[in-house]
Amino acid sequence: ENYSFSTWLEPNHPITLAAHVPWAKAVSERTGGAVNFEIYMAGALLPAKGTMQGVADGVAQGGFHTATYTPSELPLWNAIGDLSFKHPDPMVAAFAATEFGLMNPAGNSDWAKNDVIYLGSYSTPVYHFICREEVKTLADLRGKRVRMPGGAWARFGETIGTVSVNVPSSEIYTAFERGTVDCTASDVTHLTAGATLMGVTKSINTLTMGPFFAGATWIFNKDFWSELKPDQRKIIFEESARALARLQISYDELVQKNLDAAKAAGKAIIPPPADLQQSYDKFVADGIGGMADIGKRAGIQTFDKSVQELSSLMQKWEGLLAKANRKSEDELTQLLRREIYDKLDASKYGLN
Amino acid sequence: MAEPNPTLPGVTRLLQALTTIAGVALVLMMLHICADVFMKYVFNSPVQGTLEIVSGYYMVIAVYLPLPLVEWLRQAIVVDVVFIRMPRAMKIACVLIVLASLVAVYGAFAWQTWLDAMRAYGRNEIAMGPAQTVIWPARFVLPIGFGLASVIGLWHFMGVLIGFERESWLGALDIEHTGE
Amino acid sequence: MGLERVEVGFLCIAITLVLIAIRMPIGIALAGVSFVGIGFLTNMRAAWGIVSAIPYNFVATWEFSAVPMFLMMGYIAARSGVTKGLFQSMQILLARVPGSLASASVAASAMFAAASGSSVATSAALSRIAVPEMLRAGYEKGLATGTVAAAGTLGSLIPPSILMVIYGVFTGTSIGALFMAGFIPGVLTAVAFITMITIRVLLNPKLAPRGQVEFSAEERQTALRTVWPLPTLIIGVLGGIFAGVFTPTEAGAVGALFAIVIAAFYRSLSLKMLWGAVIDAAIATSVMFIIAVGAAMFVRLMGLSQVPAFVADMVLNMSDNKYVVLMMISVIFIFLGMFIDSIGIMLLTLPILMPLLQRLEIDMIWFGIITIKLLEIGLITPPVGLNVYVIKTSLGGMVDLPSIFRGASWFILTDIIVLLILIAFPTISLLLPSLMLR
Ligand code: NA
Ligand code: NA
Repeated sequence: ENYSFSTWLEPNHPITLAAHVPWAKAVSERTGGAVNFEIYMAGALLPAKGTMQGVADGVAQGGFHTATYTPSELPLWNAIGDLSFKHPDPMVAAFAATEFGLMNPAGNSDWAKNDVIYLGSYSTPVYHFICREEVKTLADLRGKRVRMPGGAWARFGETIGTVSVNVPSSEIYTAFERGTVDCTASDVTHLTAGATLMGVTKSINTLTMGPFFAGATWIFNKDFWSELKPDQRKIIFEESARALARLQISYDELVQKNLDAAKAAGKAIIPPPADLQQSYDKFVADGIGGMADIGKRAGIQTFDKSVQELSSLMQKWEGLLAKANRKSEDELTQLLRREIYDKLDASKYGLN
Repeated sequence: MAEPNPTLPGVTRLLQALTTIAGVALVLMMLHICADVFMKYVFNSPVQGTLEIVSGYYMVIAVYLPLPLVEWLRQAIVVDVVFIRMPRAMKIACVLIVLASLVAVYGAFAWQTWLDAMRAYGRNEIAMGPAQTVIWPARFVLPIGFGLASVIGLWHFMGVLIGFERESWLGALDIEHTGE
Repeated sequence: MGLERVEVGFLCIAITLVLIAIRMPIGIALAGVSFVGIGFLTNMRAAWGIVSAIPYNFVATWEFSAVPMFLMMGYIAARSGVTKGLFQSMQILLARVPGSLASASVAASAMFAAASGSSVATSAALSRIAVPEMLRAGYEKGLATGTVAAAGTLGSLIPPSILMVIYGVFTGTSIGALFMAGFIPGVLTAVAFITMITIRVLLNPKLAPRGQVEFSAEERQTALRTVWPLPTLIIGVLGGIFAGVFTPTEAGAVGALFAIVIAAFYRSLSLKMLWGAVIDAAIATSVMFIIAVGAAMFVRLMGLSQVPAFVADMVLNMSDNKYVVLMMISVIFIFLGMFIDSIGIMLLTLPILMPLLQRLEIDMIWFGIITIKLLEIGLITPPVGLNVYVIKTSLGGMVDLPSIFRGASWFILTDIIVLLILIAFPTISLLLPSLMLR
């Protein structure tokens, strides 16, 4: 049977290429075509802001959703995304977030109360400052117009004196090339994909800022989910574990490829100066710019507890991944299954 | 500007007032964006929330508040090359089908967007960005626009059915569109 | 039984066309069919879900804010009196060319186009000034009116352009690049129009009696004095985009503000004039976006019914030569252009054509310019030609519709030649954007 899966990401986005497309193919093959997802990309079926609601309504049976687009619907996931500043390791963030979303009651209910079934997250690579000029020192950054994704990045920008500008992704390239914007806090895959900033970039300051993980690689419609057979759900669990491992490995490779390409193209790869790194460390040590207050203001009663729980999951995954081969898809898949997906009951998860 | 519908000047004035609000939104949009450009370029200090307010408020108001007036003055873009060649009875039937569909479509949209607006209000919907902007109030513009447009469609429908507006609906339309 | 999805899709297209033919507003037809069609293909909850997702999110889009702003800019400029000075100075410049008033109308339209985002607004602005003058000078009615109807279409080709903004958002193409791409084709079209007028008048001098050829120094000076604001506006808006002072989206608001300042210099600025322009812009915005919202829903219906993929397969089975495909698309656009307005056609066809264009690796900037050119032709073809109607409306009983269409037909032929040149030489469109984007 054919089902729709909606993502607002472009066909050539790493998440589309490494996760959604091969995942849908594998699920279809292993279920003998009984669960065949047609992937609608680039918002062709649902606009970015409407994806979660659309999946809940059954416009699509599955979808990719970013929590930032619906801050009022996903208060916990929006507030807790800042935690990546403390643990700026994409693989750790992606796997810990997935465990948090699938197995932590608070982490799961943020999605469940929107009538969708959560099935795993992702994490972008870490963020750096990609700039149209050479930005070497903290002083260079001060007063620069920097495109910040919001949240902790914007608050960190305030502490180091950058000017946050809001530019939609469709306009970054022009804004960059014309100098309307000086820098963007982004992961380096944007050099050659997405905004394709390589041609208009002069330097990359590799200060490691937390990656973005506050989203779901997969959410599903409740009715659709409950009509699946347990063994079909089991297949989806297993393929999701594999897709997640593959995605994060692919992201790591892409980062290396982009940095190499940038170097080859003569871009300055600038390690963070000591004063900038100190500012970052201080920002994190001071509670990530008032993260706790923001969570409380969003009306999340047990925010401190959730922060504490996700933080310890991140520590746990730091430990697990320190011992693992981070380039082996099989090994990471097994790890994800052992720690998370195999623990889910295919005849119960998401069904109450 | 289009000529006011001769019947019911009070209705025309009310709908013009809504359009006036849309006009104010356009002027504010212009000033807001220009202020942002100026502050960004000259003082390196953008007006925070410009993107969210322009898209979340001004655009929504500019598009949906004039809608009832557009329907009242019959300015929506139509193709009447086939229509004007139809026999009279068929014309009446077509006008009634068209107006009934219009009432249904706008009515359905008003209903759903009303539910959405109430939900957004209940959740205190905000837009993320460097600044957090409350955006739920603009959600209510949609049910207002669609709802009034639907009611106006119903008025036209009755007018054609009973006869008090029939003749004006059977002739060719004066094309006086302002847009593309 | 049960219909295949593709069949449902085609059925929906057919029903939509029938509804448009019985004079249902295009936006309502698109939205209504999409709602029912999606409900039929999936379920009613999903159909309601699309109503939740599209009308709000589609309109609440930052990039679209350029549409009402460029409309406002055009309406203010048209009311500012700039057109009169523009027409006069072009007249002086082209005085020795046969059919000088017609050619001056084309040149003035081309310049006014840089201050107006829409073709219809450009035609409307010029018709009240240029057409009466040509008729007074004894020009043939068809030539006088057809010229202004056709020259108005430069409004969408020469940036800024509302159609390009909408095309850019729908296809994910850079709006700045589209603006740059339209410039040379726009000028080329203007030159082609002037050439055609000149040849026609040389062959048949009765079409356009020779008028005043010599102008006094004083007349020249006055004309020059009154024409400067427009180049200023052009340099301000396009130069600002190029220099990175603002983005193409922001250019709309800046342009509208410039237009107000210019109107103030002309001493034509009044609260009444400004407010008239603003209200016209608000109404036009609503009229346009209702169609666009309907089309945005129709896009989802088409996607779910898999019609685009089907059409792509079908066309590619016939030919995978991109020029053959472009010819087929052109014929379809010109046919639809006879009946449906430009935004409607664009939004109706793009979702169906996109996969095909991608598979043929057709440059979307280049295709954008071809699309705009085709849509512009539709504005002057009978029976539904919005630009022609605008001129008829502004002139009242002076000229009848068939005469205007007859006069415009020469321009349609010229347009088709220009179109073939644009298809044959993509560089004409792509040169400026490639310089801009390196
Ligand atoms: Na233009
Ligand atoms: Na036409």
